[in-house]
Amino acid sequence: MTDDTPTAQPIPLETFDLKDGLVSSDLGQTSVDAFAADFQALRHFGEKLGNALDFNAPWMGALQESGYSVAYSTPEKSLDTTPLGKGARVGQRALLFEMLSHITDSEA
Amino acid sequence: MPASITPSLRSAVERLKHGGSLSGVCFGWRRQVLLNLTPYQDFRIDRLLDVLHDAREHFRNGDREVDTFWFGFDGAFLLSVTHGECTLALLHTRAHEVDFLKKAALTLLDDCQLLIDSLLSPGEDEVSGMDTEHLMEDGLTAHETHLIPRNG
Repeated sequence: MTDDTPTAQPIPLETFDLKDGLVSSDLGQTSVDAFAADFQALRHFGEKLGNALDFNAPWMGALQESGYSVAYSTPEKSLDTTPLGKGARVGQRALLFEMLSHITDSEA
Repeated sequence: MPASITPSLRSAVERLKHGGSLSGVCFGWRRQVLLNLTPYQDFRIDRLLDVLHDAREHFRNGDREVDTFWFGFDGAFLLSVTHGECTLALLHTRAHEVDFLKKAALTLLDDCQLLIDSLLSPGEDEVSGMDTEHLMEDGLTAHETHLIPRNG
């Protein structure tokens, strides 16, 4: 008897490391550049949103559009000049919490 | 427009505010704040909505239609969902509720956009008043009115 229960497939995330002000990954330069651009924009607008509400800079940020999701997390909340953390992107509308879990798991 | 739409939206948005760990909700149409149910003063929420629009514009310049932003701050998360010309920004405290809140926000925004569309572009019947019974068409003078019977 075979088990027909569908197994949950992990979302095919591309992951990135944020360290010493650099974005690095085993993926190609195009992916790294694309993620870095989104990361900078998220960080920039996240800080402005934080200012509006009298918060410090955000320790994580994510965005979604049709068929694309990207997120970053800097669990040490050290978004100074050299954020340390992880990022991920995927070509689909992934669940936001699942993405966050994925990029904060190893630091937990 | 804000005056006519706000009462209809308020109850729906307040219901959403009781779902999950929400500590604030604001609703905007274009760059205008229609409802501010957050612990922040209006000028802060005006600025918040402006920044969210700027962020969307930034990505739109690259032909990207970003509809969701989610940020984590010390002690609070900010989720912003845009649909059509309406934006809902939610302040919540539990990260794992984000996807549930996003779905609830999208449902609400769908309804809000329909409401706004109908207000901005009323159908022919509404414009012509065909569906409306006029109260002053039964020979009453200006100083008379109908009484509503107690057991009517």
